[in-house]
Amino acid sequence: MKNNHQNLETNSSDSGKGSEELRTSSLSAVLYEKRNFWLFPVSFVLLLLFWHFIVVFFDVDDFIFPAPIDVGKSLLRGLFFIETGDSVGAGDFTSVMQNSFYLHISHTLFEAVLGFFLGSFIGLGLGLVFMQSRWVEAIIMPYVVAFQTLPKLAIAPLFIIWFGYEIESKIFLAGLVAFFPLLVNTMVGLRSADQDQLDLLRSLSASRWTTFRKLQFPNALPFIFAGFEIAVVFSLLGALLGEFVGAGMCMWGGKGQCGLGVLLMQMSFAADTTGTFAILVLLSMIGLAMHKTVHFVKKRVLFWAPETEQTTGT
Amino acid sequence: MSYISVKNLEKEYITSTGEIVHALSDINLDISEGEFVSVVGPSGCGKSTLLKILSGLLAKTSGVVTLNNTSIEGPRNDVGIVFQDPVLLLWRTVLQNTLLPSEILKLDSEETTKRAKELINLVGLDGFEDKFPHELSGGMKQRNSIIRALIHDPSLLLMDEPFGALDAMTREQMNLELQRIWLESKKTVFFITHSIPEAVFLGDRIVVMTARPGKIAEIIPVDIPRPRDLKTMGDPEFVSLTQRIRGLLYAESSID
Repeated sequence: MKNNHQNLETNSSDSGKGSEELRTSSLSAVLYEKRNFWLFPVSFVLLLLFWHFIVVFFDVDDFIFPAPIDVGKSLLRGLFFIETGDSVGAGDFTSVMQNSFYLHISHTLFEAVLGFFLGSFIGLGLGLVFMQSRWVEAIIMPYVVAFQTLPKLAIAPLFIIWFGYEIESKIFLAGLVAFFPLLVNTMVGLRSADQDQLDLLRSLSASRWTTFRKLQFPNALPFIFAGFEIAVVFSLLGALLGEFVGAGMCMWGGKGQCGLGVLLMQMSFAADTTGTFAILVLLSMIGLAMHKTVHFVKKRVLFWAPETEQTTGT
Repeated sequence: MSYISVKNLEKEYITSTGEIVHALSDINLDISEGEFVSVVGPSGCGKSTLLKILSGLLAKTSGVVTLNNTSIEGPRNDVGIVFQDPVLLLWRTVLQNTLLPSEILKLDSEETTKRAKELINLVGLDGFEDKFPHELSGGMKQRNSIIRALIHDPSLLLMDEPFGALDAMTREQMNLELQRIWLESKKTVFFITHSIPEAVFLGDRIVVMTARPGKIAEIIPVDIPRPRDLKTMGDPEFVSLTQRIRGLLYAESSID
């Protein structure tokens, strides 16, 4: 009789694999995957070519819109100290900058990562506290929401005044923006256990702590990680904002000021649009890498979770 | 005194708009130990409410409800519940989900792990001990849910439409399965279902309920011998029982 069970029931899971199940042959499945994989790189290269063509055809001044190849040269010089001979255009800040790109990257990354951990864990912690105590939530939450609606651009100078021009102010600013997504997602996540699950625990006379530990907290993890994914990108923005508003003294290595935001400002003053583009490219890549890292950890920890668990913080 | 005794049970709710809903009215029921009682009735007749009261999760308004000579005042660890949704914790394996009640009740882990493995074997989930819910089919999840309700060896098993979400064929297989588990474990079972044939197939007695307010219309004994198989469902005795119950239910809701 037991064999009947294995035969009768397939091992298919309920998680939405949607259109993938329509692939009838394995060959077409492979081709589908391959096609999807190449779609982005190919279209990206095409986009670069198109961009280059436009710039050359309309003879766009590189102060306004640089050609991709010049942006590439700027990156090469800044990152790998490879000289490609000719100047990359107006301003050409990279040829005169004192510190290497790496120094700037390391400072900004340090601020963003530290701020991320600081802000997100405080947000997570506060979410846990709010769960335990409704009156603490009632008292503190209004301040949190009110504070979050203030434009960070207005708050940043205050942080500089309070915490100085050193690296701390950037870290705290990064933390500030990483805080809210985690707080909200933690709160939503902890309340996401459905009634049947709660009844199950209650029928076993589980204590509040047991219910939290065995049900509510694991159940909240998908939301918490979604919060992390959002917060990690925000924290990079927070660090940059801090650098825009209040420079950033070099903590290690170079002289003067360090940080990608700092560099961006300097490029702007020097009218080095090419360099600006180069830095922007760098920033997107860093943001992408940070997001992908969190996503990777999330996929490992949450191997059991269904695909769709998205909620936004701000 | 019978194993489970319900006398003059009343349950009223006040809704958020202030009206009073009379969910259960004058419920009287006696269940013997080891008996399999099926409960059928239309939506809203209070069957789930009755189950929740028996589980201790819901308080009664008035009346006497006792299990094993003690009044039911709150959740008890001699009761196991199976919901319509398997309610498995997604981050736990089949084995870990099965062991959840014993962990919470702090039972001896070596013994219960052995017991869990026996139960897994009983329902044919061998080889799946370390699988997670997202790797299981609906029927497998529900079987996991059933053995979880049995791990702490409760004397009473409450089941609220446990097979409602399964396809018809899996459902029939599960009926056979449940009968087998029950014959082996000899638990007292309170089984709610919407399916009249399922109720007759599984039950020693069938409690037919009607709605608004929730009342017991009739309690019908099923004299068909065990073990019953799917062929039994064609027997004249079986068919006449289902027709009788159908008549009771449709008369009440005045559907022609």
